[in-house]
Amino acid sequence: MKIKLLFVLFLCLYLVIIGRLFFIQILFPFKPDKDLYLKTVKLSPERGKIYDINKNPLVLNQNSYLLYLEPKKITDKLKLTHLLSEKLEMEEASLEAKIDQTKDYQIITNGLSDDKKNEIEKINLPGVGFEYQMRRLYPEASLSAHLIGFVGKDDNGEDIGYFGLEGYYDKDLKGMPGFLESERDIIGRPIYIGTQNRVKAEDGRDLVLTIDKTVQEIVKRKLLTGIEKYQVKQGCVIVADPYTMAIIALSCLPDYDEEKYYQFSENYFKNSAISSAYEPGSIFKPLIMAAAINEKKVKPDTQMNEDGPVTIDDYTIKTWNDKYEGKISMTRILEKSSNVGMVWVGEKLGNSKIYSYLEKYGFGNLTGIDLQGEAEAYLKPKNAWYPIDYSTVTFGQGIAITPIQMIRAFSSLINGGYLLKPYVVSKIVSETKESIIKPKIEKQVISKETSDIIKQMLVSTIENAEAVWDKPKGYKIGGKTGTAQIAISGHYDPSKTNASFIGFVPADKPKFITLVILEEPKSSPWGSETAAPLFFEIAKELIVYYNISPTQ
Amino acid sequence: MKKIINIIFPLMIGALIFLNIFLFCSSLKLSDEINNYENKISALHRGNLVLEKKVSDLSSLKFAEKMAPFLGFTKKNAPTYLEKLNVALKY
Repeated sequence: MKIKLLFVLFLCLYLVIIGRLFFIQILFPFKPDKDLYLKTVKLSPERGKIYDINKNPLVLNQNSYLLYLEPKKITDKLKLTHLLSEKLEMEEASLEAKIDQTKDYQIITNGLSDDKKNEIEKINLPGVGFEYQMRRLYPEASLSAHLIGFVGKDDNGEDIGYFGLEGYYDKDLKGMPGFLESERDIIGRPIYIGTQNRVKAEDGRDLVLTIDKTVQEIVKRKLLTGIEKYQVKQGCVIVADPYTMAIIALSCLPDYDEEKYYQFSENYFKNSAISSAYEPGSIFKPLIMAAAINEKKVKPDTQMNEDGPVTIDDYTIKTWNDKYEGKISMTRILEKSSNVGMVWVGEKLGNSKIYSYLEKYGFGNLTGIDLQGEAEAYLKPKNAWYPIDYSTVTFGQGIAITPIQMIRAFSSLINGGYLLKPYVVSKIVSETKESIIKPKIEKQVISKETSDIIKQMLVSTIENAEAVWDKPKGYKIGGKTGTAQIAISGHYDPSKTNASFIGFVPADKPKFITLVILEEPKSSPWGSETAAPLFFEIAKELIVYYNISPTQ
Repeated sequence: MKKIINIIFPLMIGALIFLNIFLFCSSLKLSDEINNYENKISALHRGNLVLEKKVSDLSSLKFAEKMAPFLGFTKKNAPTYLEKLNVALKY
């Protein structure tokens, strides 16, 4: 009897279970909410860090928190707005207006530091929550703003790099997100015997730059002083290794604060060193002179007669001070920066060769520097050139180039004749491997012999220049000044100039080449009185930093 | 035979129930551990970032500049270039 009773009981239980299963699976199929027990979380990778050549950090990541409200859980709105506005330094009224108590979730602010988060947590306000994020940290503030760029948000609210290295290497820096799919119990703990899939996020790659933080600091400090002293609209300095075209420092001012980039207009983001085209003026002369020497059309001691202005079509070309020395050598043309002399050199070289050398020096093409935002300075097609264009280009007017194109072309004059691709990143480091970026020679523009000759001529240009500079004693320095008038509405305004200087130290085997460009200096329009002294100020500090011994 | 079955069957049932409870408790314990380690890893990572910031602050040029006056590096100690005298005499 007992066994029969037990049997009936079990049978009833089975029938109930079968009935319930039939109800759940056939009559009213139950669709479980996957999120209740199967939790999929996106694992965000850490964005790659950026270091200088000596592994000093330029960009790191830092803890940051998004503060959100769950308005329905707020018990005392007045108290919350009062305390929160005090901590967040927000207007109490605007915070109060922001809170919509019909909503479940509202973002109030982001980018909160650990300390700020702890402070707010201590008040223990119901309805206030935090979400972990990461933000970029710049230990050296805006020391290299134009080089680095910044991290903003794309249309989907995801981090994305803009400008400079952040923009160019965004894919490398960003990394690959992973995910965690995990069965959880009612209180959110993972169920060990359930599904536990974890695909690890691959952190972004770190970048090691060719930039030297100390040189960058020297350059920026000096440029800032120069801009104030010469009352300049904007200025740029590029320091590079002429043998590799590794950029050692690059600074353009005014710049911006990378952490508060949203407070600046777009104009500030443009890196003039790679994005702005300008007429180079006399610093262009050595390029044409080297081409003429390379083609054996002239020698340093070849004489020409500088007896007055030259007339090309309807245009008259004069020297900068309208003074003429009669018979002068090619070296003297560079020393006194004679436009008339350069027109003569251009005629010797020939129009076709001038154009072909401009192409060889890389004008009209991107340099390929690994920074986002490089502009391709336009080189007119050959058939659009008038005779006057071939004359003016010999002294750097009538052609627009970017500063990075200029320093690259000039480096080829002093490094044995090689045109190299400029670069800023020397190593890309991931968890598993380290890729080293090597200097890339694109072509040989002039011969080694021509390079040695022009180098000597440039040393002589500095030693016998008409301007007197406070040069570091005992050092052989080569270089050239430039003053280019700025074209406004089809004509040149003599009061507005781009003053520039390009120089290298020590001349025999240059450790660095530096280009200084100052736009519209007000204290003096001349490169020799503005950009050149600034170059020597920078060179002095770099000589000490690199421990270069005097040779003279 | 019937006696043996009567002994073994409840024993097996008992063992199975015990095993089930044991497995359930173990899984709970392991889940807690997984959770615990996840939190610890995350806290370590955040702690690492804080330390990294402190190290970078100490090695920054801003900090060096701030410390320089206390270490005796003042503007008066800046090197004087002797060649400047020549320039002054000559011109």
